[in-house]
Formats: sequence, structure tokens, C-alpha cells
Amino acid sequence: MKSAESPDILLEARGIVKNFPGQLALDHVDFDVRKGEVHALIGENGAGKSTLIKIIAGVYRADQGEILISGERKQISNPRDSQALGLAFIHQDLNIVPHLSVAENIFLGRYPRNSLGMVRLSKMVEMVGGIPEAVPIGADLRAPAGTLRVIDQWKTVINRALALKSRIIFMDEPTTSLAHKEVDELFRSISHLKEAGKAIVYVSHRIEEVFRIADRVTVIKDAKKVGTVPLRDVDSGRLYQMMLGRELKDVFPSKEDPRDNVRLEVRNLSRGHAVKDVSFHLREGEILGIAGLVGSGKTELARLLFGADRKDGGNTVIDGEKVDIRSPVDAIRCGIALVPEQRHSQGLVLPMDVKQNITLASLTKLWRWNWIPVLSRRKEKALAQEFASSIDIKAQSLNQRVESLSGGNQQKVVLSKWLCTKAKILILDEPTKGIDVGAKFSLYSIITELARGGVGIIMISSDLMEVVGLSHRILVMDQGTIKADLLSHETDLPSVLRLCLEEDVKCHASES
Amino acid sequence: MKSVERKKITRSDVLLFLGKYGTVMCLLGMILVFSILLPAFRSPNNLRNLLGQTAILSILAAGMTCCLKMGDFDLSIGAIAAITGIAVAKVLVNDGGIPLAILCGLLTGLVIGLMNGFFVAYVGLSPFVCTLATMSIILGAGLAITKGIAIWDLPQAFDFIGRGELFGLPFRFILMICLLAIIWFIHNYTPTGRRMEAIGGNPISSQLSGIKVEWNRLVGYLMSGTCAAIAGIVLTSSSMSANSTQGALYLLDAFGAAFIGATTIRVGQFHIWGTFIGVLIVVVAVNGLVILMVPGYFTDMIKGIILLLAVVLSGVTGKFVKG
Repeated sequence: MKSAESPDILLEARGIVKNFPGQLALDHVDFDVRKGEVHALIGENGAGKSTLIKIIAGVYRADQGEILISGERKQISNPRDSQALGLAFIHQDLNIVPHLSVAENIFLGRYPRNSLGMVRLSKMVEMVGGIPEAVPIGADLRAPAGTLRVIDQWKTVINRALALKSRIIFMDEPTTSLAHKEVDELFRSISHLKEAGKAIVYVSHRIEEVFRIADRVTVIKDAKKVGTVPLRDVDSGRLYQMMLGRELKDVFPSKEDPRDNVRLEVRNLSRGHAVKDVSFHLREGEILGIAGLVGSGKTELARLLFGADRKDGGNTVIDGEKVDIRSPVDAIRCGIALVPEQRHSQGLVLPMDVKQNITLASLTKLWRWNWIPVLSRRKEKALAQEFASSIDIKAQSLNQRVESLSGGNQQKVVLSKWLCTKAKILILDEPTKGIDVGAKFSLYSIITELARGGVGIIMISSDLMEVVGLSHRILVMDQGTIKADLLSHETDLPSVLRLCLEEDVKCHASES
Repeated sequence: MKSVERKKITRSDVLLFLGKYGTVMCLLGMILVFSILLPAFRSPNNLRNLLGQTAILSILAAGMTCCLKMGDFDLSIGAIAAITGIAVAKVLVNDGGIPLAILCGLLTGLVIGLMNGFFVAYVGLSPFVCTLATMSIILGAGLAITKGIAIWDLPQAFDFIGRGELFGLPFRFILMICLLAIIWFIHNYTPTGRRMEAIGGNPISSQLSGIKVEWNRLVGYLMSGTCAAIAGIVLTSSSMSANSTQGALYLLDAFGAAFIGATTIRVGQFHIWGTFIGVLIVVVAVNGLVILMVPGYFTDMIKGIILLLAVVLSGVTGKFVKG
């Protein structure tokens, strides 16, 4: 179907410029959407994708440039305008009212009423059938929308867009909240919409998905448009190069082979349905990537290893010694560190300053004369300074509140908190989430450098590119179990992705 | 454009300054106005009396601040003060001697603090429900022990704590300053204090940084209970009697003082010297109103209004409203 392009241009944005204080967010960006196509809009976090979408939606006003709908110049100054022009925007949070029924959610705010002004649910359920090209929802239309699977919530919102006679549907990072089976379902719905002549703009930073669904792709990097190309003309390597501005092999620093001694061995670790009977090992100096979709148990495994959740069973052996980890305190004592998934709510204490955050897990090292439990400001400063400069944290001073740092620097603060404790095993859960490209690259070299120094690193990421590029070895998780154990130089991105998505592939863990 | 920007900055600077030091200036202003208008206010006797009055309230509020710092609170402090007084008085009237009496009083506070801390931090009850229940239990127990009759006839030597003077200052004031200094030191210069601050900032991050959140919250309740016990001892000594209701009135004042404190200097954060300024505001305001012969119910209303204003201004409302 990829060739089914018609020159019928529904929307065209020309020379869009947008300035935010101190930052150019969009620099003369052109963008067009044709009837019946899936147009992917890709770029790193902070590249300008969402700014462009928000301008088209009427949330932001462009400083320069114009927007044409079906060849006519239009002024879109608020979301109502864009809705009237047949544009629909679906965000990750979906804008669902959980306790209202599916039907009510579809007709949100535009309920049919009878002569007494009463809303009639039965009428609404009937009307859902009348929506042209409606996407079938696999649930009772009278059920509260909050009880539905995420994919059915997606379909609810898609139907809402169709009920509004939208011609272009924008989807923002749709797969981040979906489980793998649901991704297939969403893609089927997208194909259905395409056949019905709607246009889809698919915003993502995941190149793998783009290849599965899109007809054309526009790449945005550092506020500029790199180009728009039909997908049949490019391969993933080329797209990465466009998106990152350099070749994939240059993004990840070269790594040394891990050493022979096993740093961590995990046997039959379990917790409920989240983590089932997981066994693996980690060598000194090894970077072990863990891939898997949402709900595969990656984060749960990390929390379990760190003692943040209670395990049902299983053993942990560190440097040949069996250890019993029941709490983060135990884990830290054993030399394990966790950089958690949510930087703000789990990694940092926002109201405290840089040095206090860095030294938070090493307060016993700050005792005066090493035996009086009184904090030595001198030692605190020296310790914080040592690790802040070792990984190049950019802050005005160590007394700056971490709240006001950029995402990349905040992540470095969390990281140096653990460098302070001299952790031997570092678990990174989505370390580059929401971080701009430059900071990402510098985190990659820090991670590689740490491994070179002998730290065993477990890196969980939904960004398969970084899992494949950075790790020595890759575990693929699915439904709480490890489905595959791969050496990264023997595999590539598409095969890891396939393993993540397919559930019935039986793959033997390669014993090493 | 530029001049507009410059003006904006100065205005926000002024607001920032007002936000930080508004309460201090309010206190100074109040003292100034009362001193000029009311000769009775500026008499040395009244001023000494004023310092004495700050003692009990400050000690209670300082303990409360230890809990508030971590996002907890303790409604039972007034009741703890009362039951401690009863325990002390009981030991004294049975000729147990002053040291033993004080020891029993402190233990009472510690045990109740331990109970609160255990149920809140380890069992996971809401601080509100738990300490409200404890308060009711203690008040009931106090009533049962005293049968509603105040305990009198305490040995004369015992009145030094609450009525004695040292270096020309009320002894209880000196005691309070020492206690506040100790708590301030713990909060600002020890690992424990740092951990408590981190828990107040983000309990989840703190736990994932290897801080024993439950234990520290328990310690907070122990500090709160102990302070309340000390306040109870001072209170009993200054009235030379004990009954089951004597501490209850201080609860609201202590809350108000702590929240006024959270609007002072380090806005949005509870800290000891802020709390102390809060106490001074409450005590000076009440003292002035009493001298002006404003009826008692009116004073209560004004205290309530001050508390309400302080909670709003401290910007920590959300934290407590949303739980």
C-alpha cells in the first residue's frame, strides 16, 4: 500500500518559525500532509516535533510562516479553529474521562438531547454505529471508558475524531503506552483509516515503528527540517543518520570486552506476575541491555534487584557471595545502585541543591573526623565536587537547586549520587528518557567509561537503538520472563525488535 | 522593552523580600506599635512574662516542626503535654522525688511518640487519623487517672523549672533556647537532619537513595513526643498543678506558629527558627490583645485567622490538603 500516494495535499505548513525565550524551536520548517497517507514525523526529544504539532493545532502561534488547508490559507489561532478545519490531535494521555461511558466519551461535550434536555445513552450508542468509517471497539459502549484496555481507549478517541469529521489525525507517540499486541491493533486501525481516505500524522522517535506503518517520513533535527522522504527510498541507517546528524556507529563509543569474573548472578528471581523466574548473570565491565515492551517486567526487575520491592523467591550472588537484599539499604551496602525510571519523582529530591543530592546516599562518608555524626561541609563540598566534575555536570554552582537544571544534568546528578557510593553494579532504568541529543551522547560515553572501569551495568531502555548500540549483551523480556539472551555483535536492531514484538517465538537463551 | 523588564525584576525582588521577611517585619511592627501605645506592654515585668510564655509554646511547636518537616503531623502533642504533667504530678505527690518524676514524664512522651511513629510509619495509618486517636485515648486516660480533679500540693522545689530565674531570665526560656538550638543543630548539621529534609522533599527518592524512611519518620514522632513531654513538665511546674485538659489549648497555637514559620525566610519549608518567630507572633499578638482587654473568644478568632493566613501563605497548602 505504500505506493498509494495521491498528490491531493490536505495540509501544508510553509516556513514555520517559532522562537521561545532563549531558544529557536522551529527554523523555517515546511511540512505537508496528503490524503490517504501515513506521514511520520520523527526527531529526537526536543527537536521541535511537538512545537510544530502545537502550532498546527493552534496551541502556539507561529512567529512566521503560513498554514494552508486544501490549498487555502487559514488562520489557526486556537484549538477550536483546528477542530473546525478537520484536524484532530490525539496525545499520549488520550483525554478520556474514565468514569463516563465509551459512547459519552466519543461524543464528549456534544451529547444528543431529547426535548426535555436529557442525555440519552441509548441514542448515543446508536449514533456510534452511524459514524462513517468508525473503528470497531472491542468493548461494551456503555462501559466506563476507564475500564477499557488502552488500545480500546485509543479507538474511542479515534472515533471521537471521526465523529467530528476530521480529515487529518495527529497521533503523538502512540505506542509508548501500548502493550505489544495492542500495537498491532493500533496499526490495523491506522491502515483502516488510511483506506478511508484520512491522513495520519504519526509523531515518534522510534524509527522501527515508522518502517512498519508510514508512507512518508519527515525528519526534524535541532529545530530544522532535515528532509521529507518516501520510506521506500531509505533504510533505517539513513534515517538514523538524518535524525542524529551522524552515523549510528559514531554515536556509541567503542567499548572494551567485559572481564571474565562474574559480578552478579541472579537465579530464579520472581515477584507475582511481574517477574517470573528470571535468571541471568552480569560480568565485571559488562553492559547488559534489557529490551522489552511496556509491561514486559523490565522496570519491575530493576526494582526487585535493588530491593525496592519484595521478592517472592530467588537468589542473588555478588562476586561469588550469596546476598540477601530486602531493601535499598541492603542493595547499596552490596554495591548496587539504581537510576530509576522517573527522574523527578524517584531519582531526585527537587527542593535540595546539587551537592545535597549527590551526597544523599553517602552521608556516612561526611562524618567529622569519621566518627562524629555531624556533617562536615568541607567533606560534602569536596565529595560533590569530585563527582560533579568527573562527569561534567553543568550547574552554576553546587548550591544550585536541582529543580532548575536541564534534564541531562539532572540525570548526571542522579548518576553521580551512585558514583559517590562506589557502586559495583549500576542499574539504569530508561537513563536517556526526555534528555536532549547532546546530553544523550555524553551519557553514552560516561556509561561506557564506567564499564571500562569495571562497573557492571544493567541498562533498561525502550530505545532499542541505544540498547543495541551500547550493550555487550541483550536480554529481551516479555511478560516477566527472559525470552532471549543475545550477544549484541551477533544481532541487529530489526531482529531485537522482532523478538520484542513477537510473543510466540521460542528462543533459546544462549549460554555463555 | 529593557526598562520594562528591569522594573519587573525589581518588583519581584520586593515581593520576594516581603515573602521572606514579611513575618519578621510583622513581628517587629507589632512589638513597636504595642510598645508605643501600651505602657503595660513595655513594662519589664510583662516582657519577662512574655518570654516565659513563649517557652511552652515554642517547645511544643519545635517538636511539631520535626514532624511537619517530613510531611507528617502530630495532633496529640497537647494531650501528651497534659498526660505528662499528670504523670509527673502523680510521682511527686507520692514522694517519688523530682528526678524520677521528670524521668517518668519524659518516658511518657517517648512511649506515646513511639506509638504514633509505629502506627504512622510502619503500619501506614494516616497521621491525621492516628494522632487524633492517640489524642483521644490520652485525654481519656488522663481523665480516668485524675477523675477530673486537678492534682495539687507539689513540692515547692519543683517550681524552679516553670517559675525560676537564671541570669535574670526565666529558666524555662533558657531551657527552650537550648532545646531549639539542639533541634536546629540536628536539622542542619547532622546526617539525620539531612535525611529528614530529603524525606520532606521526596520520600520516594529518599527511599531509593537508601534512606530508612520509616525509621526517620518514627524518630520525628519521638522528637515530637519528647518535646511535648518537656512542655508538659514546664507547664505543670509553672502552674504547680496538673489536670487532664491543660495542654489541649496549645495545639492550635503550635500549628499556627509552625505554619507562620514556613512562610519565613525559607518559604515553603518548616524550620525551627521560623517556628520560633511564629510563636513570638502568636504570643505577642495575644499578649497585646489581653492588655487591650479584648475578650478571650475574640483572641481565639484572631488566632484562627492567623493560622489560616499562614497556611495559605506558606505555599504548602497543597501538600496537606491533598494528603
